[in-house]
Amino acid sequence: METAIRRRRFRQRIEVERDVLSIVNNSLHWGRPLMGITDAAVNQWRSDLDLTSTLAEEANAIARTVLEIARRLSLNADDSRDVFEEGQLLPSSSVGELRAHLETIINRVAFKQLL
Amino acid sequence: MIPVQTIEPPNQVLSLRLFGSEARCDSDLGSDLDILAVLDSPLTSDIAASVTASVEALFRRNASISWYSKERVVEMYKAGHLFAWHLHLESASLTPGCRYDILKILGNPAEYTCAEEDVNSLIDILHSVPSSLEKCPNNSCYEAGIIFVCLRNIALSASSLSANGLDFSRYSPYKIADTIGIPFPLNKEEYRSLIHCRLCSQRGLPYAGLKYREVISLYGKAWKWAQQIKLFVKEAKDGNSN
Repeated sequence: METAIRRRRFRQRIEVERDVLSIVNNSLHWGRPLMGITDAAVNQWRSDLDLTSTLAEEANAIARTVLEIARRLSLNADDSRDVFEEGQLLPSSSVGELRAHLETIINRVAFKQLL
Repeated sequence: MIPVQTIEPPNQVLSLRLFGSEARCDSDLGSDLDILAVLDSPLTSDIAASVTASVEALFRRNASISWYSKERVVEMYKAGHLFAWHLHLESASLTPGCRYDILKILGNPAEYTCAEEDVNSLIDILHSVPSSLEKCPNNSCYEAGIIFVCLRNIALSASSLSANGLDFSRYSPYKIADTIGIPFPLNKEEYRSLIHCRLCSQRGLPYAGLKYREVISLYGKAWKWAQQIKLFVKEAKDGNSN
């Protein structure tokens, strides 16, 4: 039983990370893909971007939203023991509103880049 | 490296230990300073601040402290949890000789019996890499990191059935190769590139520009090896049960 729970948590973590990264990386082509959703990965991504002031504001909003999703699901820190750890994440539906917000920002950026 | 000086933590702390790569003496620039603190009461901000300050003063760097309740640690030992085995085999007390340490009292964890299930579960995750990459090729660095996690932990689980026993190191796929007779097909440079990708996605290391095709190529090698390990684990388990 414990093993099943542990596997579920690790799998679930990967699913959430893939989902968030795909929303960002499938739409934005800023030379630096977002590589993870931990505080460290998001902050590194944000500092690597070299953007105009308008897009920089949007990048900040994206970074803030991703960090909030990670924080709410307790995925904001590296946890190399996650493969072994018990318990489940909060359901990803608990961040549905934030995920929708992230998509809205991304769509807005895509539109601005078309102009 | 274990410092000579030790810590006198608050009484609620039943064990304070260094674990992970620092305790194993195979740390590098990407390694955290991993500390375990076992508590017999709920974590308070005072306890957290006191322990964190003591540990960081001792090691002169930031620490990643994992807070566990006494009950949870006892459960993990009874279940033969891999983390319990790691603590038992590789952790180092930061309070040696000067006080009660619950991990010493617990002794050996129960036998780890989930190798086959764990390997199969990790192989399932590994299997999901190509389709995920197909959906988002820009996630190549992230997916390369997932390949590393799967390979390392498949080797760790399989090592429980090898003559040398559990191997928690980052390079476990190489370490078990001779004992189980299954060579690891990635060269060290390729494997290190996967590790770097994992550190990018978790610890914010600078961008690793591993491309889609490179990741797929590494995946292909990893997949064949994982299938061999799966067979080894199944045969070893079947052999043990006969």
